[in-house]
Amino acid sequence: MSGDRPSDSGHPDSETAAARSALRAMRDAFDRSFALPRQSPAAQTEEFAAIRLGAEPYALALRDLARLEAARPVVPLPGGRAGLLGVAGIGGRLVPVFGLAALLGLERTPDAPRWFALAGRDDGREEPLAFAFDRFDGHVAVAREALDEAGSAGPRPHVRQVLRRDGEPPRLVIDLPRLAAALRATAQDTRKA
Amino acid sequence: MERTWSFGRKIGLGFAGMVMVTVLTSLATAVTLTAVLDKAEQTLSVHARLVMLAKDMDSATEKTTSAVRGYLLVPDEATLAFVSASRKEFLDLLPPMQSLISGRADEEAFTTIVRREADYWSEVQRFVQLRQSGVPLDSVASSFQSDLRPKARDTRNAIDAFTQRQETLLDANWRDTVAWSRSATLLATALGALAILAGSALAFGLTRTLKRQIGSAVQHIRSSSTELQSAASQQASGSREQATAMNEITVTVQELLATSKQIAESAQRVARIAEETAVNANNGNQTVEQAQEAIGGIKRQVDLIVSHMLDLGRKSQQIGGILDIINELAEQTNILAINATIEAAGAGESGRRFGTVADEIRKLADRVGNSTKEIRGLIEEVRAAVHTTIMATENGVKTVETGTRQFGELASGFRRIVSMVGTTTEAAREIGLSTKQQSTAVEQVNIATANVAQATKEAETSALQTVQTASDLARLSQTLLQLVQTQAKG
Repeated sequence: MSGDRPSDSGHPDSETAAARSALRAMRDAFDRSFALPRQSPAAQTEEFAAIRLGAEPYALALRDLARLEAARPVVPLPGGRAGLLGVAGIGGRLVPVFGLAALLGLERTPDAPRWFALAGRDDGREEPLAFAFDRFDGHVAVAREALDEAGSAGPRPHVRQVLRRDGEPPRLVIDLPRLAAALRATAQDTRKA
Repeated sequence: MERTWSFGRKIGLGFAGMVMVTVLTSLATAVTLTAVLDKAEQTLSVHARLVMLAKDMDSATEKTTSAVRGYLLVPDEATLAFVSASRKEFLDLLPPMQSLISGRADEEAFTTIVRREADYWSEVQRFVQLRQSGVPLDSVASSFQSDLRPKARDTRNAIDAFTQRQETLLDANWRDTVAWSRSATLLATALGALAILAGSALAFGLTRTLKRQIGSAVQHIRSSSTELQSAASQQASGSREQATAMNEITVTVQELLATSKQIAESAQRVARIAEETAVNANNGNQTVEQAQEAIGGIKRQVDLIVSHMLDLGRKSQQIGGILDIINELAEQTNILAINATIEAAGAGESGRRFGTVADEIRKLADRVGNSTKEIRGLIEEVRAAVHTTIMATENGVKTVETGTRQFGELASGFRRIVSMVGTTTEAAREIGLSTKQQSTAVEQVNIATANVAQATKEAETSALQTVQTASDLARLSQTLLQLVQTQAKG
């Protein structure tokens, strides 16, 4: 029976010891965090929300976001534009919901979107927009030096930068403000028309 | 009907016909000769004798006349005695003549003779008395001439008439006798010729019939003897071939006998080995049953393991569900921390410290998420191990079931082996017994074959003898045919 076990698994006793060691390190780091001087991370790093559209990794800059929320029911609209999934009630308001994968020209997954990324300021000057995506990978904070400019002729439209981390494939940083501005401009043109 | 008659009957019939013809011929000849003899006898003994007696009577009458005449001359006693003697001679002739006379005419003629002679004798006596009386001689001589002589003449005429009649009858009878004799001769000749013709016809018919039938029979005998010779030759040849075949059969039967004995010995060995095999199969069956029981225990233990593993799998799924909850909580915490970070970024300096706390919360949430990922990985490993174990156990169960089934089949096979070995043992015994009976039967067949071979040799000898006999018969028929044909040609 021992031969059927995965080969990469270590001995249970050593794994338990490693877990205890990790627990101790984590506790030490937690305790040490209270002892370190407080500094603003924003000066050296930039924070991103790592997401995944289909199987491809993307990133959204936190400074471009108003909020992340769990997806809720979307009411489809008749004759909506491309990428518009419908409207959803968010924060007591009807907010248009766009499929981020469709806007980037990716194939739409059959599953319902799991998360909404809200763009737009809460001061009421900008109408909020919700961008639905499938999977939230986590929070990523990288040094600004780790960001490469994607350029105008990037691999995807509406991509601003490329985020590179060791041991991970490069993530495309979506230029959410420009995308929202383009959608709003299109909406205004439609209203004027 | 003719073909059914035998040769002896035909020959007897032919001889009977010949005897009948001969008897008829003899009878006719005898009757004819008897009639001729009667006629001749009648002619000679009656008419000729009557003629002779009449001649004697005429002579006696003449003698009496002469004696009277003498007495006329010499009238003495001697002459008279001579006269009486002549009369007596005449009278002595009367009885024989009377006995020979038959018929009215002859009797009248005879009576006439007797009456005239009596008249004549009366005249003689008167003449004698006349002479004795002394009458002159002339008167006496005249009386002699006138009285006595006519009487004598009358008597002699009567006698002559009688004689002529008898002579006439004699001639007539003689002619009749001659005619009868000629007729009898002709009849005898004709009957003889008829007998010769009948005999010749019978001989010819018999010869022809015998030739035809004997020739046909001989031809049949020849063809039959030829066929018999051919058949006997074939039989002899067949007997020789049969004798050769019987010798080969004898050799084969002896080989078969030896083979049967070997088979009997082999059957006995097979029966012995089958008995040992039955013992071993019984032992194997018991071992298999024990192993089957052990496998049953293993199967129960394996079923228990599978049940525990399934329980472990279910527990792992429950842990996974709880991890999903923890992960969801960590994810939501992370989202909330991010939102707090966003909110803190917008809140200025006061929000910066809040952002730091939110960052710590987010880090904790990340650590929780990473830990849940590790736990999920471990659980996945556990589930994979459980799944692998269940699969392996199920395979083990299947293997055990297969083993159980195979052990069951093995046990059944052992039982069948035991049964079949029993059947084999019985069959081997029966084979042995049958082979012994077969050996006995083959020995009997061998003896019978030897007898048949002997009989075949005797049949061959008999067939050769038959060939010889048929050859002799053919030669004999050829000889007989030559005899018949030669006789027919002769």
